[in-house]
Amino acid sequence: MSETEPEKQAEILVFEYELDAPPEKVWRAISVPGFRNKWLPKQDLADADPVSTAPGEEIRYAIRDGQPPFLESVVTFQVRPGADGGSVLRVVHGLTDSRLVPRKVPAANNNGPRTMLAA
Amino acid sequence: MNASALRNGMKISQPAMSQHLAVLRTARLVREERQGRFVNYEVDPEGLALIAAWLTKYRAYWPARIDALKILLKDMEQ
Repeated sequence: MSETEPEKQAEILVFEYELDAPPEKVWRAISVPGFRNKWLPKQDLADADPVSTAPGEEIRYAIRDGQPPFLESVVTFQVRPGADGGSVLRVVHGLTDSRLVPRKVPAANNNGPRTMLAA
Repeated sequence: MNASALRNGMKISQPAMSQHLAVLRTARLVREERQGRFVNYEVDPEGLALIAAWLTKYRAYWPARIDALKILLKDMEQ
């Protein structure tokens, strides 16, 4: 499974669901717009096109809260085979709003070094 | 509390503490208040409420959406 993490996320919600349907079917339900719109309303998405797709495995959509302050976030759906021909759907939803998760650390007003993730 | 008071009892350097505080500040979980030469940190109630409201909303949102997904999956052809 490809683990791409293009942008920083904060305040992550993680859910995992066991579904009776096989992974291929779940994949269609989450990736084909005609199906997706039936359970995930288009108006809840910031963009109807996915942010990224790893066919059959992972798809990510941008979400914009419909209420002020309209926080921006990204949801990731990951599908994998489950028990008895079913599948496991993992939902990871994190805030990406630049007001909460800036692209980089703002210029420090102290003597702290700028490197954030020094091992 | 200022950064050195926050460090009491912790094995963490001052620059490291500053970095952690910077992350919390940009996430709006804490805010700083300058008092003369000192900077005091406190919980940012507004930022915290913002994030808490978002979390509460989507914590309920996804289970409801997945219920709808399950219904769709039943209706879809194999």
